[in-house]
Amino acid sequence: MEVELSASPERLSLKPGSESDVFAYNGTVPGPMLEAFEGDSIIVHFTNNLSEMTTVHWHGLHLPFIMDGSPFHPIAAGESFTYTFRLHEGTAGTYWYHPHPHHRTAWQVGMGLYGGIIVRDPNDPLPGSLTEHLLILSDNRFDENGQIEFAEANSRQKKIDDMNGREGNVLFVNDEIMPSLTIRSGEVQRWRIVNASGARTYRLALKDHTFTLIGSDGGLFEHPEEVEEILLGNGERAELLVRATGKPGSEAVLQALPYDRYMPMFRPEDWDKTRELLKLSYTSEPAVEEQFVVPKTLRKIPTLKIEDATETRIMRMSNGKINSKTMDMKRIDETAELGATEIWEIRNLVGMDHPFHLHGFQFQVIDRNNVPVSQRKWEDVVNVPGFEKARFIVRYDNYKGKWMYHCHILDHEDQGMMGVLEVK
Amino acid sequence: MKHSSFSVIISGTAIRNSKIVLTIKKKEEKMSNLFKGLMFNITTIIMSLVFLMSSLVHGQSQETVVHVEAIDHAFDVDAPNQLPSGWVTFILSNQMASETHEISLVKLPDGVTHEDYLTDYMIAWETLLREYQDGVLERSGISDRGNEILPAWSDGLRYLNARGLASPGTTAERTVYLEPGEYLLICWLKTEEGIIHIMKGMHWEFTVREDTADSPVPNPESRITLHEKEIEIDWAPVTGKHAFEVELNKNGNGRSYHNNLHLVRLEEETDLNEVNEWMDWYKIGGLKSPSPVEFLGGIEVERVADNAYFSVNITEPGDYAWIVFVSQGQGLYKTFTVD
Repeated sequence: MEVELSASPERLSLKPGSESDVFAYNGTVPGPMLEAFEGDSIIVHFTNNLSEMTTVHWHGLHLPFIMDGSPFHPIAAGESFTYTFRLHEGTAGTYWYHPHPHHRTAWQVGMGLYGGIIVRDPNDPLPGSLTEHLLILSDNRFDENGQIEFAEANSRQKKIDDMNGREGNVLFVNDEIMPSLTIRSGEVQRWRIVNASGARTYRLALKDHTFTLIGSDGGLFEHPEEVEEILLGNGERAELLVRATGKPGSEAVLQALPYDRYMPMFRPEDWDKTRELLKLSYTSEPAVEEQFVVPKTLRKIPTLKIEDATETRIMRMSNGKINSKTMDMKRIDETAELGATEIWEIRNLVGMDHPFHLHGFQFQVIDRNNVPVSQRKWEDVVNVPGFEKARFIVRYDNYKGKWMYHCHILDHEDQGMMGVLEVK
Repeated sequence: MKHSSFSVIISGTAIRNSKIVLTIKKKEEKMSNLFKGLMFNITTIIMSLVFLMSSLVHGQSQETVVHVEAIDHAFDVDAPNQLPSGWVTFILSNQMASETHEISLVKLPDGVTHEDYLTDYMIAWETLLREYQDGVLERSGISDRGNEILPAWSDGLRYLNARGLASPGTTAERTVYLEPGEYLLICWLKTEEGIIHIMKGMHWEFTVREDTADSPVPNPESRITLHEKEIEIDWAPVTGKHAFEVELNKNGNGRSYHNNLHLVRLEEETDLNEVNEWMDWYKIGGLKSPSPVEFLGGIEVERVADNAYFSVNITEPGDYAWIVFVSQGQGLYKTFTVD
């Protein structure tokens, strides 16, 4: 796949009735969806038309360090860079791309720079006949003139945004507010959901429906899971099947249920408000007679063995720091050998959630608060609630380099809640 | 009548200490009690086991010890959120942080939650601090303003002990008697930007259960008495770890002259009056990072009746000073040299 991609200032109507100055990939917010198959070579000719440096980070993809779009490889204003990498076998899943310049990520993503990626498996265990939707969730804040609003320096709101991350009161699914999808009674649809919000965590539910959760950041699970809700931290993705159990002509709403991820002193007053994201309208057609049966096994997930781990790295997360340090581009915080298997213990020592993201390598969560997980999954973000901990196991395959790890609340990342793992 | 809770902060906070000693057998009994209370939560049980094993190893027998690693700005506590009542030693290790930290221990009144403390109470304190530092409020008006905006239950807060300031690279230790109830472990110091560490997230909540560790009173090697104008200590300073008890001399009204004591390492340029000034929490630069001197621990107590037990570790020869912080006045100092 070979494409042209640019980041440019644009003026677009994000909200009906007003226009906003935005940053956009190829003129749209979100940027164009990139779609390819495992094994494909990807060539992206990127041009930075902004007046500031940027990068394109291919969130979750396993690729060479120089192609990761991390703060180590900024692209100056007016410059171009060609990203080239190959999609590895076994990595089919839902990913996304966004800027990652040091101290400016929350700003650039907030201005509109993000887009979805689908990596397909030529031997996908689910039939291509299922209707599929990619839903990129984001939120934003606007002033009375329709301009994207960021808190002023030294304001009370800035203090709150620094702590909570910047949340917006306008919620988008792709480029729309409260869009509609249609479904036929009895039908099963495949939804891929990306949390592209800088700080908002989504606790998703579809009233009177359950979900069959089939995948996470790094693709399909081994076994599907029936759930009533899905919690999606910043940067996380989910793949799910929606079974239309409602009657023809009925409606259901995809909701973001209240989720308390906040320090008590900074909890927003409206945190407990249920928000509506999307309307699911049933067609008037009679119910589908032949019910789709979800395979019990979707694929084999190779288990990384704990006994192979040569190191346990402890990450102590406070607000804005990891292991009491803020990001220093000249400092290497952790060093590991190429090919090594290691365990990371992520301790959240404060009273709010922190979603921890590792670049370059998918990992498998082993346990949370010493309780083993039900099955191994490929992930690149693990959300750790306040005063909890999680452990994951990872193997540093294929690529040496300086890989970032950080809190994916983008304001925290920009404050320096980030470190560098050098794989040698 | 919210005066008491707020006077705690004005002068510092309060402490009480000791060391818990359990026989191995008692430890087993304690473990049994612990299990009884925690069967509902597998995670807590595992943490409790780790904690108890840590206690056994650390004390070589009998101390109940809670290890606390300070980071900027949180506590990494190697203990479950439930502790037995009785004497508990808290070891504050400040090996990872770049700022000075403390442990303050506050017991909440019945019916008051940890969240109440962190929201209603802390937000009121932040307001008070800002108003005073912005010049809106005079020092003399802090008390009245505190009574206006602090929650009514503030009176019922009990600061067991506080401070024990530990600079980066140091470890401070104190032992305190814990009665059953709800507690918070907090750090009142401020960041370079003037934000109270608690507001950054430096708090840890825990419950002290009814069952007791039944530990003996600590056995310090020396006693330090705080007189009105003198720090009295009969001690030959040498390197190593030293355990102290602080006695508070009282005036005619039964109130102590002082309630705090700190050990600092002196450098050539150290001005103890400046250190005393820096320790004034209300002032703009007060207890704000960076600290003007290296703190090696100490203690502060709220009540005269409280026993104050603490330990310090003097690792190198040099010049040192005991300092009693005096709000809006001349601090009390006693310098000494370790050869």
